[in-house]
Amino acid sequence: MKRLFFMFAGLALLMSGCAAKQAPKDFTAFRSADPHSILVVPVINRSAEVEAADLFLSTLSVPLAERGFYVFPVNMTKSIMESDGLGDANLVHGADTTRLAELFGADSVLYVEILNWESQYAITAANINVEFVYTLKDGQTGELLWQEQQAMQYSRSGSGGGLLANLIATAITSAIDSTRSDFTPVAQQANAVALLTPGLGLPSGPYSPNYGKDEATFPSTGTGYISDATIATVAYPIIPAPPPDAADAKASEASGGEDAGSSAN
Amino acid sequence: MYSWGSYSGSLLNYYKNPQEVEEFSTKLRETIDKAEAAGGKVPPGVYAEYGYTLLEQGDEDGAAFWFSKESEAWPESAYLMQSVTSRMEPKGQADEAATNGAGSGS
Repeated sequence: MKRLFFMFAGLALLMSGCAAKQAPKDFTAFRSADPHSILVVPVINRSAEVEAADLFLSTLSVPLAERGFYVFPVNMTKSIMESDGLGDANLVHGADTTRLAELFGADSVLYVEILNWESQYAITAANINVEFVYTLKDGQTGELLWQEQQAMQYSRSGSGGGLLANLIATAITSAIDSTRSDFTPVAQQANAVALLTPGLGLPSGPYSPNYGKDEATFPSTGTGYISDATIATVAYPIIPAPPPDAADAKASEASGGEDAGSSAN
Repeated sequence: MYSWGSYSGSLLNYYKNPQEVEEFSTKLRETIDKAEAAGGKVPPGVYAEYGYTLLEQGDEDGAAFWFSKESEAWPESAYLMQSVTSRMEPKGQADEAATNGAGSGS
């Protein structure tokens, strides 16, 4: 399910440690692959903002490394891919993951698509909307390890925000370079929520003190529910199955409909 | 966990102004020096990123030195660092072997 957080709501969720009321993903494949390193490949940009791909690329290394993974140097790997004829993000996302991982000696490959990167200005308010799909695949097998779709809205009107919210809003407003459509501060918030949300984010990597200790937060449920994306991506061109409870509801609905034609819902 | 210094901002600035590789390079070196001086671990990728900016400015020996630093600090990078070093011109490799003792410690 796509979750649209207002930035402050997102921060509040992180601070209180409450996840959205949603079934946790299945981390069986992730635990079994146990990736130590992540290769971040050039980003596919579906927004109208031409510069978004490079701007966004600059926001990923820090949160992934702080999560405990070795993250390949993004600018160096981008330049190497460009000089090897792999400069086109669509091409890279569609290529064989295992061969790409082999080229760099990477345990896993992270593909990101930018779905939205826009601002809407009005006289009294400004909204910035960003949305991303993150797809992590196993470098050995090409298997999907984790996928997350994350939207984030930043609103400068700040209605209903408290003192803290206003302070944060002011800090972000001054950090945003709207003349260059630099919405990286909002993208950083989206990354934080995507990576850190209990049950849905990315488990801690080998350099984190929490490595191997977050099984309860990121469980191997065995449900096969790995992604909450609502779209198919180039790197994983399958529309992922919905969370287990929603899938059960749909299944019973379908079988009921077949038998009686009119099931009371 | 790490001292990133100006890493993200300087990379962002470099993407906005791709002609400013020297500026990006200087900022990366500052990040390395500050993290090392503070006794902390230099974040993953930063030695290599710095080495690559040297390579882009034609300094193969410097690049090879910092690639070997990355490799020592982060074993996950060893394959790539070896691969890019061996792709440099043979002359660069020979020079690196002569000036840095080939990094093998033998």
